[in-house]
Amino acid sequence: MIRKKIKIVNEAGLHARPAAALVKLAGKFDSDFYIHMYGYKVNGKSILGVMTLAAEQGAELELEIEGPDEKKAARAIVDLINKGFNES
Amino acid sequence: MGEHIQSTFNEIRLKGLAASPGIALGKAFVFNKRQPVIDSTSITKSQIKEHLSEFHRARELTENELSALLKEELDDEILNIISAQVEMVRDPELGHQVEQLISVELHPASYAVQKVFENYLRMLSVSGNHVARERVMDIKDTRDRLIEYINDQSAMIRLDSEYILVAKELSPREVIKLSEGELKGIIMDKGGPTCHAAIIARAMGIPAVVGAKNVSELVHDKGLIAMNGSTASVIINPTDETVQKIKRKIADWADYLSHLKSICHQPSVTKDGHSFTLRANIEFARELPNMASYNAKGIGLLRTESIYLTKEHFENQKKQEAFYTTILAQTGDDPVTIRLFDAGGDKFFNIGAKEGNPFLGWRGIRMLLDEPDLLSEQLKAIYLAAEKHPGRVKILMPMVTNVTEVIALKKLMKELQKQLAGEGHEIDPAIELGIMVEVPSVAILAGQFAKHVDFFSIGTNDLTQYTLAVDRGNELISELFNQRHPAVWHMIRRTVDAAKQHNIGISVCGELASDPEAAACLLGMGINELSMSPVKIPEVKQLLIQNEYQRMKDLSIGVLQCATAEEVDKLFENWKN
Repeated sequence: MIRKKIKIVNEAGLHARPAAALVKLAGKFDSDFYIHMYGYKVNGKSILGVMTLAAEQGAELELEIEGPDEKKAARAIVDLINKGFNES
Repeated sequence: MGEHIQSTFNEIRLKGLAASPGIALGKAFVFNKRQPVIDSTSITKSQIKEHLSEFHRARELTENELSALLKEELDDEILNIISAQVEMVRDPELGHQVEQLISVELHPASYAVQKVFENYLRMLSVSGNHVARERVMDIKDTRDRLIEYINDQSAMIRLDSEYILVAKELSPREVIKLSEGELKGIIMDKGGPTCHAAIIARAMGIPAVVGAKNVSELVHDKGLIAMNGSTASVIINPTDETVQKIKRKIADWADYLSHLKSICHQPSVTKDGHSFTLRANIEFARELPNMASYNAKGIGLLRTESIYLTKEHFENQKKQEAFYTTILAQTGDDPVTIRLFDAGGDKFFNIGAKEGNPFLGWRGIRMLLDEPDLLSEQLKAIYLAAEKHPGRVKILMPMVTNVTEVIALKKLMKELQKQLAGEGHEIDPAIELGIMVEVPSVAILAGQFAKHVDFFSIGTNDLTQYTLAVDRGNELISELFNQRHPAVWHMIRRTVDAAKQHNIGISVCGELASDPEAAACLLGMGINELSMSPVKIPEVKQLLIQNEYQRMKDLSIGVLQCATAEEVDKLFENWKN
């Protein structure tokens, strides 16, 4: 299992497009993916779950990824979040 | 906002917020969101299968409906919301939880959906920040649509051209579906000028007023209602006298529009017979019809950043090629100037630390030359699109500051041409290469640059920012940002002289070109090609065709004698009168 802390860097936070991009990406991997934030835990492949986090810029998340392709999945997900979902 | 200004016998006047221009008079169609019927009585075990399949069917139909909307030419922000809604419908947790509630708790399908969504909505309301508030509507809309399909109440009403749609609030999906007929206008109780319904109304050219509190309760269904999307006024039950007034206004508005149209279709020549060309600055394919209606002659600036910034598969040459091809296919025989990605490197790559001064940083051609894969992909897409429409494409380099950058790009272009030719492609030999003149170093050394390129395009927005050292996004000094500043005019003069001396093309694609008097002055300096947002064309063209070229030349000499932007303003004002 991989656990990794990460910050939301894009200005608008986890709004519609980033949330959709995140679950779409996570859905491509077999590994389970959960996000912990301020005591909540949601399934990272569930857009409704991800949206209820309402993560704003600067929010700290902890990613939990477990499964056969966890390394690949972790790399891709971390990259997407760090790139600010390719937004400004 | 929203208060009664006057409430006479019958007529009620309201003020909302202007969302989309245009005046309309028609019958109100009050769209009341049906509260979906939710049956909460338990089902029997033998009904589980039936309810599961009802849910699955509703899911599929909702997904198909939303996915179909994604193919329409809509604003990216709207597309993002709809694609998020598609993901909601596909949500694995949603599916799992609803199935559990049906098969274990024996809830009927609609109640199960309602319950699962309720949970998420409650969690969202706890967080209460702005990201959450904006999501609530989209989530509720998805829920309601699923339930409508489960209940077989999915049919949307089709309105015809008699109606003005009045509603408390509309989701993007509802606005799109309801305006598929021919609506006269849209009025909403809620929302602001930048709400999604407003964005869609503007894109579809439907007059709209939002934030008109209580309008949906005050108006009677099928009752007469009038609205003005520019002044944000709404009149419920207008009196006969008011109706006459409004009809006159509608006629005046139509006259004004047709006057603008008629100007657009007059020949582009000054009063004394000097001809000029007005082109369009555009970014999206959906702007093409607009461009044609203003009779723009080709595209002087095609911005390409949005391809990368808004699409998921951002390294996709095929997608780019398709975009350029669409643009070329729909602009007749006119030229199309494609500007290479003009953005800060942070938009494309995770460069870790933020740049201290991004406008003086790693952007435009500086970044592109450091990222040959990104650049090659874009150039290849352009070459392949040009192969199908030869003789019309021009390539424009952004943020050039050194001649070496031009030389480096040309080298790469040669290599790519060779490679593509090797793969059996025909390279369009007529593709021109030009540079944006938007940095003082280029204007000052314009003669050197002119030896290496086919044309100059002056970007006055950045040229002003860099010449005057004024950050154009900084509100504290926004008064200092003035494109009419004499220093900017001297930069332009230098650039024009170099272009003429070396016999290369010259045009302006910055905002200055859409300022009518400034456009006259640019023409007077010898720039016969101006590119602007299509809506600006009528005003500019009107002034240019009503005046003599000789007078514009005088103006262009006078402007170089000014010491301040205020003096330029005065000179222009006097010239006009």
